[in-house]
Amino acid sequence: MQIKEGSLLFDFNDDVTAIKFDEQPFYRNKFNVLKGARGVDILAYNRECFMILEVKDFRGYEIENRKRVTATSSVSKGKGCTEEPLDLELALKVRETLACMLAAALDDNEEDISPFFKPIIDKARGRSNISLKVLLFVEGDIPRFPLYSRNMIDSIKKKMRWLNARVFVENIDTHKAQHFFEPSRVKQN
Amino acid sequence: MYIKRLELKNYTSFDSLQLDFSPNINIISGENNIGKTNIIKALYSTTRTIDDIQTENEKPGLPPVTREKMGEMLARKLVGVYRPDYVGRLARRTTGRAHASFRIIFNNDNRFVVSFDSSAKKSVSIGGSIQRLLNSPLKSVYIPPKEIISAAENFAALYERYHIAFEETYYDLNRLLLLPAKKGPTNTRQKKLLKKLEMLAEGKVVLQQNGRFYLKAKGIGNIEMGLVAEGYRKLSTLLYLISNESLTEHSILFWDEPETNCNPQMISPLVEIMIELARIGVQVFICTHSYFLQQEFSLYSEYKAEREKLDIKFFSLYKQDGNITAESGSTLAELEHNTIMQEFNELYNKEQELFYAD
Repeated sequence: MQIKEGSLLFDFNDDVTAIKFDEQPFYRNKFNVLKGARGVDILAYNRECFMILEVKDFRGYEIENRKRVTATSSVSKGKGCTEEPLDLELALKVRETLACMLAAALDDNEEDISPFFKPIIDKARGRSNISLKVLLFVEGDIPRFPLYSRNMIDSIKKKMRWLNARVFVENIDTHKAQHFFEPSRVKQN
Repeated sequence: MYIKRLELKNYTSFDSLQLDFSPNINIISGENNIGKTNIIKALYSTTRTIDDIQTENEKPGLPPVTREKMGEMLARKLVGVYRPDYVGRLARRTTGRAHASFRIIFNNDNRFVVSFDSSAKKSVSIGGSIQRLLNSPLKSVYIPPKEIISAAENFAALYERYHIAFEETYYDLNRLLLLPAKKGPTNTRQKKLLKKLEMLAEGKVVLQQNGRFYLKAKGIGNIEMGLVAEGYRKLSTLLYLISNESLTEHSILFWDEPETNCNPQMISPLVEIMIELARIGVQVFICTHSYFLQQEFSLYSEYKAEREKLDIKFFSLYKQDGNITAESGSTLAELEHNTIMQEFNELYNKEQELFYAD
């Protein structure tokens, strides 16, 4: 299953079911009309893992987005950075996404998002050992990426203490082929 | 005077190695046991011996030190600093008798050549432009990983009287610390540097009659060095070495792992001070495992060094085909082998595996 997000293509392993969350009718037409609503880019799961995936593609726009790439709540604090820090943005998107999934599951006519709620509710009820994972995929020329991601992971974890989930940050260069999906860059028309 | 180049042959763990140094700041990294400290100890033992011979020759009524005695003095220094059973043990271990040598080339092309066999017990052969070197101003200071300022009052006496298993670098530093401080700074740069250090250390360092060091803090009074955090003891050590002019123009400072027992917050001020020291004409050599220290220097090198006319050089030691070799660059990004960054990448890979694991 393939999902295109901007100029990035995510080719998920055969056993994975995935959707582009923020393009689903329920999200766009019902949830997102509420002021301040937001959602992550992709939801995906297989028997072992449920992944909430947010994609940030700064490739070619690193200079304009310099502050945004590096902004975590602690770095931007007190430095006059008006951009919303990435760690906070992701945490809020995850919160809203989970709320939207619950609402979709309660809607009898919803069929796109609600199947994704089942693995989560099964885990909540102790019926599965699936692990919940939040992945931030940051593309762009970011110097010292392992150090950048270390700082970003810690900041996201701080913002997401309320959720029992694993957190990681990677990009095309650091992603390993056998892991859940294969990312690549596609040519824009 | 500063060190331009070192050439090692069959010395300690090195087969053959040549390093060209910066006259300002040199940062040496590499995995454990690769020989970082061996390099700065070779440089220190030699420069310290030259420094000692200069002092000896200044004593009135005594004949100048002979070349033979110089060879004995250097052999003693090498044994004291590295602590092998005898000096010949510093030759690279091979089957049969090995011949070790190292050559230090200073600015103005002055050279100091040292050679010895693995059987050498009490003396090494020395050669080069010795007389010219002895007439050039030079002070050599080595700061080992652990601080000594809090035990200064009796360490030197103990070391001289008893056989205690401490590297001589501690004794040497202790001796320098016990030299009296000058009444006031001799020039504006020194004054500025001392002021900055006093601000960071939050006090002045005083040596009392009883031979003990205290940090004199405003509004608190004298605090015994033993009660001060280790990072501050390191700052105090530098402060005092500047005050008594052990660290001045023409000094060479060797600092082995400045980060030891230091809070990472202390690294930035330490780097600032090393840059200031280089500005007053001190040639600095640092061995480090600290990511923060490396990065602080690299940032300085990338953004400021050229404008401020300071040359920073990074060295990485690594093994290739069983031999230790080195690469160098003016920024960390120029190094292909950086153990500290490799470790960071390993940590990232480990976390990624855990993230994707079931």
